[in-house]
Amino acid sequence: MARVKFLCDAERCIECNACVTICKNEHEIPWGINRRRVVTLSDGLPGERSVSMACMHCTDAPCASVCPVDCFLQTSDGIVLHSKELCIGCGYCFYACPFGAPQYPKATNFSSRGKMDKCTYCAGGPDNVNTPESYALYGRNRLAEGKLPFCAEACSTKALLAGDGEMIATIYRERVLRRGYGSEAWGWSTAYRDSPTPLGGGNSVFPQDLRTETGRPA
Amino acid sequence: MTRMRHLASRSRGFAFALALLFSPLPVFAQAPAPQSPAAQPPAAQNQGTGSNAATDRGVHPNPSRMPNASEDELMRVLRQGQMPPDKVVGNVYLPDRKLAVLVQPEGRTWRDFRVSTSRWVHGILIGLAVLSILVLALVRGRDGYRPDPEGRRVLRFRPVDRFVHWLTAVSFIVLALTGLNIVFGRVLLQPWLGDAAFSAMTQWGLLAHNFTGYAFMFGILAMAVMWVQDNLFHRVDWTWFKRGGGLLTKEHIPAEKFNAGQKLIYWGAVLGGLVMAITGVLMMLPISSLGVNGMQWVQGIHTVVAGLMVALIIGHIYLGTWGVAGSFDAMARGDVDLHWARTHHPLWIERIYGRRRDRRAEPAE
Repeated sequence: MARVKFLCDAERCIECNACVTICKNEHEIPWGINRRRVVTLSDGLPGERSVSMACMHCTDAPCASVCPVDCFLQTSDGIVLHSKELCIGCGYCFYACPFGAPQYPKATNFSSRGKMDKCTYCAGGPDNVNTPESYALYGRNRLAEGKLPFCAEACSTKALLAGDGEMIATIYRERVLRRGYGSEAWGWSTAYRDSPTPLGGGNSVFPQDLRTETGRPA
Repeated sequence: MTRMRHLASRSRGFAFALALLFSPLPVFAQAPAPQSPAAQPPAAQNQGTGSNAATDRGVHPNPSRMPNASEDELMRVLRQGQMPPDKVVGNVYLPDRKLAVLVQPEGRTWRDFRVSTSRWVHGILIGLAVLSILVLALVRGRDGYRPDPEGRRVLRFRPVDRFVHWLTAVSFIVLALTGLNIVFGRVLLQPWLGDAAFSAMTQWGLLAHNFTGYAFMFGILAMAVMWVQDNLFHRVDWTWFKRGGGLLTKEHIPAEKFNAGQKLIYWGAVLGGLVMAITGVLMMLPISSLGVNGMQWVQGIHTVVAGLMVALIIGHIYLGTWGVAGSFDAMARGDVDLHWARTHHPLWIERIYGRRRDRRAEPAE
């Protein structure tokens, strides 16, 4: 399979929060945890932009790099998954993540951090089993059902795109060319080290030399 | 900031609209997607060769003004406005304020610190500490002493002193080992132990670290209060420093109850311990209390000071046990040999005798 990515076109996002809601609903995410959220920049001012942000499943993911117990793995599709059996809830991945994706439930009354939770690209858990236990920990494995992440499917303006990196970059390029302005794919180049606009490649191949230490076999 | 960004995006849009005049839209829209960044000449090259070749490829005639999603570009636009340059913050309709941070490039710096710098700092500090005790042991050897012929002993640490010392010492060992496991465990232990065992060990280690921290904090605060009057620096300490404490020359420089080196260890432990306590408690609190960049600083300070303290305590353990014969009695039994005390801490013995001369009493017991 190809290298899958997320792309949020801030020019189109209308801050309806459907992605946030449907993500919480689909995976039955507990209170206080938000795998996806919509951030509005310059709220109420000219040039206001909204961006739907979650784990971007980075190439060369910082979270995986700083984890003290190496609980992350990246699938051959480039999806960054982590094992909640190994995670110790130290919070380091949150310090390193450019997008603030890792979330921690409150484990005790002292607000200590529980095991990290983040977007799985609707790919379930790292062990790739579709059990009720896996669902409770990681949420639904929609990719196994041949579906895309629900946030992108539910997006009312198709601002949020998910799928093959090259395909969504092509869609985005066409949009930019048609409307003649707007380079509003926030986070893309930080996460994937290329550009989705005509100058960049938007490659669909996951670079093997940038795989994190533990990669799930294809 | 909004104004600037708005203008910037519009002017880029305008430039692009100009470009569209020179080239029909279908060419743009149906231009094949470049296969890979390598297959496409870099933007700078297009600029020099003129716009014709560039437009044929469906590339903007002036690549420097071409809209792109480069984060640097976005940050540059943001820097002209009121947005803090270190991160992009917006509004989020969730009670969790830390989610309002959209992008924080500081994470890269912290990642480098965590993956590389912190390991080097710890490795070098611990290496230096071990090296210096090796040099001490080889050059100076064990510092022996002749026991007092009458077997007289003098009380050095009360039971409460020893309790506080060992409470702090044991909790420090636990904290240091579990902390070093966070820094080096993934490199040194995980390949041997396997993922599950190492993760379980680290999980328990983290728990132990968090709880033992309170015992350590109590010990540090008690030490700070109980021993401060014996650890203030005086003129004699300057002599000790000037002669390097006689560490390598084997001479005994007159010292009070604690010599200047011991006072340094005291202040290192108390001040370092306080920094560790403050940063440690901050790290246990939810992340939202300081924001993500604050947490990065807190973690960095905690790690560096931890390395300094581990190095300091390695030296302390050596000098308190094997390095100086007779000194371990002080913390193990509470009293020390009178002759040992006269050799190492003559001013302290003078002070005790001066105080007790009238009563003609034995120094201890």
